[in-house]
Amino acid sequence: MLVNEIMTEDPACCTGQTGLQEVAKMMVDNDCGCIPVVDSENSRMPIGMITDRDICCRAVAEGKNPLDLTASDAMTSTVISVTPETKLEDCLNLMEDSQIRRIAVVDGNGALCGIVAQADVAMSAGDHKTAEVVQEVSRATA
Amino acid sequence: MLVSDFMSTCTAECTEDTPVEQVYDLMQKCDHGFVIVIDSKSHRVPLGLVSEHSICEQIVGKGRKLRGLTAGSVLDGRIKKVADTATAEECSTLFESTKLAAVVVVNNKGGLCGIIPSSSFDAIKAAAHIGLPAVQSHIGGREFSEFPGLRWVH
Repeated sequence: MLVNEIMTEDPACCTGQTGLQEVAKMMVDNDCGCIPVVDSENSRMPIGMITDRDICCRAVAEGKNPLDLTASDAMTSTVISVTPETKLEDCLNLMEDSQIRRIAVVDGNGALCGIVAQADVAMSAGDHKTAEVVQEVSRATA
Repeated sequence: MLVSDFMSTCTAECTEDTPVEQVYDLMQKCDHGFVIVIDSKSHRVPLGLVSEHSICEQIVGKGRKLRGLTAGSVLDGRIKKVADTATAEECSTLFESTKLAAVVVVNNKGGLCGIIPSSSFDAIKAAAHIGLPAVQSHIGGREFSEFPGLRWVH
């Protein structure tokens, strides 16, 4: 299976200048916890990722007013990405090694074209698979 | 296979009047990132969940100021409860039918006894999908690092 078979295509994204309030609204509107940050709406080259954790940390832990901050103030600048033709297993191994739950998918020009989340992989597996693995785990730990 | 066999017993709890700053501190104590809002310390009936996502939605998304806000102001009341005697299949069906961040596990008196984050189920399904060795997320409160393939989940 390849990444392009389960990725979310054309995900909602923002630029570094987008205010955190708008980013938070995008997360609510798109029912997600991560918004890719791109250099511009035209080129859509990813420059970072911002999560609800990033926003929460700035607003609560650091006591900053999130209404005064932009995506570039809170995002993680390191962008780890795969292509649509990447094997799913390789993609998941990369996510595991990088300890991330979501990964950007870029096309041949390096422009954002999708995103893969752990939940996307889970949705493509059936319920019976979940129950099977849970049962295996129970036997392994008994 | 019952829910009680694989739920996380690491539950950070607070009442509705707990200030958000304290709720956030509690949130850091559990790997799953949820604080369960309960009615009282005596009965411990779950009322809702507070997570980083709900804080983003209720505070930042709505342009509210942090000062004076409590858990009751930011909780997500859309929780589903399952009995600790429910099966894994029943729990999985619950996650599939409604998009939940977590399922709260209650005992026969309706009191809180555990939580199952959707990320745990996602991780198990992801592992099953690509054939990773049997892995688990939070069984008996054991850490991810003790099991292969799931260290990246959190």
